[in-house]
Amino acid sequence: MNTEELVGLSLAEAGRLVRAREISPVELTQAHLERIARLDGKINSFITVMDEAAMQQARQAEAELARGERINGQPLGALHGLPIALKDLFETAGVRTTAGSKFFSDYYPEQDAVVTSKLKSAGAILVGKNNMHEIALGLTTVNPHYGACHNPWKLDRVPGGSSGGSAAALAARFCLGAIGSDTGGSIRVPAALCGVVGLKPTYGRVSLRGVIPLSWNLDHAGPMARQVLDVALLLQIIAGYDPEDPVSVDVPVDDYLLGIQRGVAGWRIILAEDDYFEHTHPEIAQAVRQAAKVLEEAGAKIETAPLPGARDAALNNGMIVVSDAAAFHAERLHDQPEGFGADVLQRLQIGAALPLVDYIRARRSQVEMRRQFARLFEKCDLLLLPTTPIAAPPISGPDALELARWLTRYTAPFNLTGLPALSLPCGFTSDGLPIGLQMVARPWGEARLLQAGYAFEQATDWRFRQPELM
Amino acid sequence: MSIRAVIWDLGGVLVRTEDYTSRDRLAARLGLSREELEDVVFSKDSGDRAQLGLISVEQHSENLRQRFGLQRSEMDRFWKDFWGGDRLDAELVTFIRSLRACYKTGLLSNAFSDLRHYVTHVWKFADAFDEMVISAEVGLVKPDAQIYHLALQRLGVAPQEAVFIDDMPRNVEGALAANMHAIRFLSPQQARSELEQLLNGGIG
Repeated sequence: MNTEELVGLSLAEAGRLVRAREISPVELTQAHLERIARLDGKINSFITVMDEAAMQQARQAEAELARGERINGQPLGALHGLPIALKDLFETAGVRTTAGSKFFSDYYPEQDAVVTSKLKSAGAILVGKNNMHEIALGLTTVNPHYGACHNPWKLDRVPGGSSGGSAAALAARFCLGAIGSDTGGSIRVPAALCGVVGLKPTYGRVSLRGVIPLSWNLDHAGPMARQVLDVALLLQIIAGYDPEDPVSVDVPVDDYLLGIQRGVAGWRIILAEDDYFEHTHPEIAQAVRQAAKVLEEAGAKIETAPLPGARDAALNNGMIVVSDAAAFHAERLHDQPEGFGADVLQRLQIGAALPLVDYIRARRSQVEMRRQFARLFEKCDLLLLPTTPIAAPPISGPDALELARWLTRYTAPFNLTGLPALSLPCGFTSDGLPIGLQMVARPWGEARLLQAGYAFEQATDWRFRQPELM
Repeated sequence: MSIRAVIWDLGGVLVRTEDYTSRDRLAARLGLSREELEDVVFSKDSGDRAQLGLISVEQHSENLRQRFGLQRSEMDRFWKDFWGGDRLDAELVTFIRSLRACYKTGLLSNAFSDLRHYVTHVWKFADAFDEMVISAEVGLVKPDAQIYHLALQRLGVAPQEAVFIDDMPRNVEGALAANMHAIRFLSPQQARSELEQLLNGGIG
């Protein structure tokens, strides 16, 4: 298999080939590292490439494969020998973890985040730390300290954020899977803008221990990849109760691959439509309606319904994010405000100045919205809506900032409510930019969510489109 | 070429279900036949993936719990009932230990991720083997030729220098296809006598 073919594999397919000893972890890792070295100068999707460590891990993985077990006597994991990237806010022992911030430019954690250590135990090869919006507080990944990340589909466009480097690296075929975080849309928005798949799980499903926080109340860690099955594989590894994480919840983990192919026949699916969605770009609205038709042809019953509360939920989510971020960064904001980029500083200052009564009301609305949204799923199996109202905005220019403000409109309600939400490709705009379809399910409904995503993906061929990178 | 290694299957050979009362009772409680229950535990996607090590035995247990609609607290009992009639053949283990004076010995089992723990800490006969190759650890299952080769490689012997003993015809055929000697296990007496004939009779 040549280099092009190796980097074009899905995570699941590469995993099968590695375990069948048909491809080796060394050649697979090398192919990805070479591609990063050759092309990431244009994309800037990594803050740190762990090339030496990755090759060493790959050689060890290969030796372990020959032995049939890991050097320490542990079984081969489900991700054995597969190149994965981490957003640069997941702590990695001995490897710099910046959170995209100048303040953390010399931060070398002593321990791995729980997610990092779960990936390592599953045998994953960590190829690097992805670029991100500074401290995760923004949607463009135009990072003033580590450089702007570019959208592989059009280099003058943003990849979205804050997990922009992760989505761009996947679209550019620099890794087979990635782990991002999502506080207002930070997994789903870049997934949509870069034409990949991203899942924000239920609040409390994936441990946040060792993740540099943006909001203690709204952060979610989750998997990203080019195909739904790959996202399911990654979630299987990183999901689970962590008694040391105060917001982790002890709910059994479903088997996300068992029954993923069962389809959506007989499902009741609601397509969200009301004046809140009027600002959706017509091509995106059309692609999402078309996606609903695909699911209808697969046997689901589609109804359209308004989504009251979405606007308030998004607004309240934003208030909590900036306030929590201002609290976490309070000392830095006070002592050295110039260390933050202009957009992030402005948001932190808004957060620091937010009246307490507004914050309290926002938290109260969170409790109410959770109940209101959960009720929606008493009547239906799945909610369908666009991931973003617009496709990838330009990196710079007069409209850049204004357009970016629109990006979390449809994603933030599900951070506030903690519901699991998936974004996957459902088409392209006439100027060739990817469009994301967002699916939302009831709490802990990740297995069903992935089942619906898989049904849609298998009925369409968007996953086979790739950006040209020369 | 003379035989230098003897490789054993576990389930149905060293550990055999000799009393089906508790398993039958469990199946009946779940509204299944024993064969249907065994099929769900050992294959049917979740069982298959657990044997390949793609999911942990804990995840497999959780899948079964959901499938049967049981409470988390009921799963200990489920497994106790399922394995309740299994007996370790201590005599056969003693025989394998005695083989170690002249031969390398190995275990080659399609099993879940907790088998090594059971062999080492519960049944305590890990000392009978030079190598244990467990499907969930190595990501391969019998009768895939690769898992036989992995066992041979670990024991440092050529296929013709090894004999494999298993109760499942397809696993015996897999070993033969990998150019090993193989014995289909029907009873301890039969298997031992065929093995002794092979080791001492110079058939190979």
